[in-house]
Amino acid sequence: MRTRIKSHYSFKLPEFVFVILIAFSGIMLGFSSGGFVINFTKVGFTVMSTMEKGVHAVTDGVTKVFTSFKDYSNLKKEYKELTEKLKDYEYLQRNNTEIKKENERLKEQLDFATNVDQKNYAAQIISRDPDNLYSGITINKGSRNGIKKGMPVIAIQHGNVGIVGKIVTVGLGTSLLMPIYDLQCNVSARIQNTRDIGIVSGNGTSESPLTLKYIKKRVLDELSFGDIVVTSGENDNYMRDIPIGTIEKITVVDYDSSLNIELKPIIDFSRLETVIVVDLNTPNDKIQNNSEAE
Amino acid sequence: MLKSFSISTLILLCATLIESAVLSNITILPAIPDIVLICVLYFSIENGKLMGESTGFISGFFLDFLSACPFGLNCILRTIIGYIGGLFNKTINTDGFFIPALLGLCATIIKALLLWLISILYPSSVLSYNPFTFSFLFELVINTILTPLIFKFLGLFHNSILLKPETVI
Repeated sequence: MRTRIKSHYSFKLPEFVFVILIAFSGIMLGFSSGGFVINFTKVGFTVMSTMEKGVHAVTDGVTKVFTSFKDYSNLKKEYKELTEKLKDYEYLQRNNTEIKKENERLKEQLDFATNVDQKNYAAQIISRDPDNLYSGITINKGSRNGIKKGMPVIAIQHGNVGIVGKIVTVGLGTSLLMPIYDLQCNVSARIQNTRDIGIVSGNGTSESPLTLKYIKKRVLDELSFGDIVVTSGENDNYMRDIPIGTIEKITVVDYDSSLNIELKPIIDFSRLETVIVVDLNTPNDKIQNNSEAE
Repeated sequence: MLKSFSISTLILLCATLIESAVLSNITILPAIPDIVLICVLYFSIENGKLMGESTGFISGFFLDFLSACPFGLNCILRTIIGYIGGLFNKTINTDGFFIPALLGLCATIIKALLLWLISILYPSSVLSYNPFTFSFLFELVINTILTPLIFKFLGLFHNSILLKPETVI
């Protein structure tokens, strides 16, 4: 006769589901850098970031509605003042050098986009990473607009061109970029004056300085504070000679043959609103059109 | 149970979108408050282990799509937190201020500890908190303060969210 051994341990539904979910999450985490999950991530990112884009549009709209009420009362007040000032307008128009300067600055930005050798796409930042440990930035352009994974991202701020980061995930109408201050971001760089090559890496937050590594101690005398560090253009990851930051602090460590250099990023990330995504493999149509016209 | 799960998922989706599209753009904040974590904590304490781990997993799923972190990190992290929260079902009262605040504090500390443990298992891609940074301390404080308020807010939907005691698993 067969005897049945009765187990005292009972495996209940919550524990069963818990094990399944943990196993599933663990597998996803393990494969996240491989090819298996990439398309899945892309689909999910597209859906979620499109909704995010919607929320951004709604909040933007709500903010504009509230500010418009305030603007309305201000405008009423200003209207009376302006009617009195109208007579002086002719005089003011003659002294519009400030406006001219601003126009020149804007033209500079436009010229960059049209004169750069590679095809480029202007995009707006719609959100930043919800996780405090990571620093992804979501922009409002995706594969539908021509954005591809690995494309470098630059920006123009106060007339200066600077590197922002590179595209890591592409959705249909949105993309996620990894900024240069991210802990996982490494950029091959050169010191503009001495042409010494090193690696620039981030320290996790936009407020903390960037670190330039592998610069030999022998060049210490040639370096000075404020020297510009630019992209080397090696490995074809980024364009050549795009400014990354300026030398802020140099530390000499006895046990290391290299200098420890801290950089202040060219771009002020807290004020960054628009960026330019560059397609290194496609020539700029606008330049081609201009040369054909000539 | 399905109705409760669907409404909880909808609330988590809204919380994720608020966190990523609104709060993350307030650059003066040293750290983003984890309102998704607080919602998962509420669902798990009120509705038990099964609902806690399921909502935790779903919320992690949403966050993983929008974050630059390795895919699955938030899923694993929040599933565990949801399960742990579910263990305290029927034993903790979520009314008042101090108990929810304490729960928010503990959940943030557990999140940091779990991240540290996961970073040991996946050292190349997972980052862990430095407990002595201002950013982490700010998140700890803001989560502690926000937990009672979010619990109060979620309490408004208790008829739709909370399961009947006999259906809690």
